[in-house]
Amino acid sequence: MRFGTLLKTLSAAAALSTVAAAPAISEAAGPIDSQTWSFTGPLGYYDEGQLQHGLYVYQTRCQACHSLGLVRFSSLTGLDVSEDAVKALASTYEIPYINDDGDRDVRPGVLNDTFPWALGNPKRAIATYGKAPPDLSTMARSRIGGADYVYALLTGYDDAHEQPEGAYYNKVMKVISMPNPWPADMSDFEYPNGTRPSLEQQARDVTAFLNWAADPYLEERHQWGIIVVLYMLALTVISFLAYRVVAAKVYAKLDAEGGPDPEH
Amino acid sequence: MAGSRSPFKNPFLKGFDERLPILRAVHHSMTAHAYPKNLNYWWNFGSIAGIMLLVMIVTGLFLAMHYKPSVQEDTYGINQAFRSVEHIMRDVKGGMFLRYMHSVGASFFFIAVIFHMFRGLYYGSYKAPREVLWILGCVILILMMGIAFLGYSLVWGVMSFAAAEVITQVFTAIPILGDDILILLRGGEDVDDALLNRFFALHFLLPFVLAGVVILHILTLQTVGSNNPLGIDLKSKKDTVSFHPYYTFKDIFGLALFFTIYLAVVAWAPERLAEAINNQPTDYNLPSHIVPEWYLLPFYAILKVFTWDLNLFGLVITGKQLGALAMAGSLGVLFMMPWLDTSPVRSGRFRPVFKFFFWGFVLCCLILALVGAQTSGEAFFIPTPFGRLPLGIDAGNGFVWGSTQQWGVLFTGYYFAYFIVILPVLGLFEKPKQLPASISEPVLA
Ligand code: HEC
Repeated sequence: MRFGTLLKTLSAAAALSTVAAAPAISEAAGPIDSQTWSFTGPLGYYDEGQLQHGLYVYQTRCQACHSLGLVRFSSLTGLDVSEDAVKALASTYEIPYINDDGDRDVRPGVLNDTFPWALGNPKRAIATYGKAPPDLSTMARSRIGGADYVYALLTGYDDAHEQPEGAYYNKVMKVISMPNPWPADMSDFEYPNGTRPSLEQQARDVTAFLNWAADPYLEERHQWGIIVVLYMLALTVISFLAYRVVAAKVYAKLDAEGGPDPEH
Repeated sequence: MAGSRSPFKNPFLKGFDERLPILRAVHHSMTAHAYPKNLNYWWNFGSIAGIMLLVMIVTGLFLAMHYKPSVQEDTYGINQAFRSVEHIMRDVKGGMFLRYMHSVGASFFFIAVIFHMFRGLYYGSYKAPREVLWILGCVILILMMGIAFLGYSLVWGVMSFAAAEVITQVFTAIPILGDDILILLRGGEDVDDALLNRFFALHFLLPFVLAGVVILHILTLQTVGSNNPLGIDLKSKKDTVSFHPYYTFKDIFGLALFFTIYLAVVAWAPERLAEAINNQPTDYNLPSHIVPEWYLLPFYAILKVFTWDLNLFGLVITGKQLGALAMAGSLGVLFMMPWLDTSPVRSGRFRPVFKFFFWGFVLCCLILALVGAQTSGEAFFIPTPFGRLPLGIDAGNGFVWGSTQQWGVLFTGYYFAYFIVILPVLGLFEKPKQLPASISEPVLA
């Protein structure tokens, strides 16, 4: 967290304004409940610990079907992961390429690569799931409700509902081709730090991660906003005062001698 | 216009000005040209709009350095155009700010121009001798709408694609030539690479055409002079003030306030004014209904409310053609304003009945915007901070009282009636309040 603890304490106060603003968003999206996120509100920031957990959930439960084709491995340093660790992580991925003999081959990923798509291409994805699992890079920005939508979708499965072959029931999307990503028994699932997250916690963490993937410079924008808007407010006040001073002088001169000749 | 002798003392400025008398023209219009001394804050939006045009051109130029107009999809199913926009947001230094300043800037440019135009409508700024000034303004509006639509397409998200398809399709309503125009616009039958490339070329070119029209607009203003809240002509030196320093300072204040709000939206709600679905590059889940950006909504409403065919003694005009005609007409009537409004009084301040219909017209535009955003066959509602205020009910059996479409027809009717019936007739019957003798003299009691 570059902006430090100051930001976090201020954000607690800002959370109030978030709660007030939230109903409007969920209203538009219908059945989507609004959640509290660290990144909403004027001082919203990302919690790197949460993003790391979210990345872990993504790797375990989502990347078999989905890709993050716009997210470079190198950007993971923004999650407070060391560059060496990111390099190691990137090299665990297989990136398709054409080798020097002109044959299709795979090579280990490097920093500049983006998260690959295990299904390979849209045609194979459609052949497998009936509908291609969309790239998740911009998902948190491309639905009304944003992160709230993704969270509601991930926690909205109900396997008890009857559905036709190849389709599943979800409260947000009544007929969805995405199977429930959560196994029935997750009692021995652990985060790398040893904690055992609930389903909701995993959904929350992966949603935060996807929000970061969609809007990685949110913190920079918020910091920029505070500086720029404070500056502009000061400028507004100063320019107003300057205008009043000038106006008083101009009025005095006008009373005495008038302005330019309208016939001019 | 420009004085015959150079006003500058500095030898360099003086020498330059004597060879190219452009500085003298600016100096003259800032210090010697007569402006009404009573312009209120509604007059700030003109300079704000001008500065927004500059912001759009500068940010746009840098975006164009990184943008790739290609619909080619990679193995992720992401097209190159969309990827290049995301590349700007993720990899280019300061790119996220550039991109959001441009996309939010489009909205704020429209906000400035909309206030500017409603100000003109209220204070009668289109009446003689300002007809040409007003018409150039209408040309600016139409150019802006076109440029905004082209720019929106460039992102090539699913809504860009849908908008490009639907809007180019509108031109097929033109009899005989329609299909050829469609092919000309798209560069082929399909919404494809050829379309995106010509949209990019036009999106780059037209803002400079717009800037040219803006210069003409300002030159016309310099010639006929500013209107003012009283709508009466300048009578003497007592009524006037030079632009500098009074209006330069007032404009700087207005700009600072406007930019505070604009930049706050860039920082905290850069996508609030946009359709979220357009951040999706692939068409796996298509948008359920197609909506343009907010500033085009009233015109889009007028385009889509006509669902029936009109039979004029055997000559059938299809609903689609009616819609296209109505949309063209809704912009066309703006051009006719100087002749449709028959009242000799310019300012709405002295027209008690006009005022009533004017605010009705503002309301009409807001309602049409909501109509444009909602689904035709469903019950119409007004979104409020406390939830939806329904203005229609679904009676079942597929029958809706007060559907979006019905409200749309009603207010499309008011839109046209305002220009074609109300303004011409009102001018003949309304008894205006007494006008003051001059700006500097109060109304005679
Ligand atoms: C077994 C393959 C599979 C897995 C695993 C999977 N998904 Fe999906 N996902 C899909 C498919 C297929 C779709 C398309 C669904 C549709 O449009 O009907 C989809 C769609 C989505 C959508 C978009 C829904 C919309 O509004 O269009 C989101 C968000 C999503 N998945 C998130 C996730 C997350 C987060 C995970 C990991 C926790 C995950 N998925 C795991 C196959 C999968």
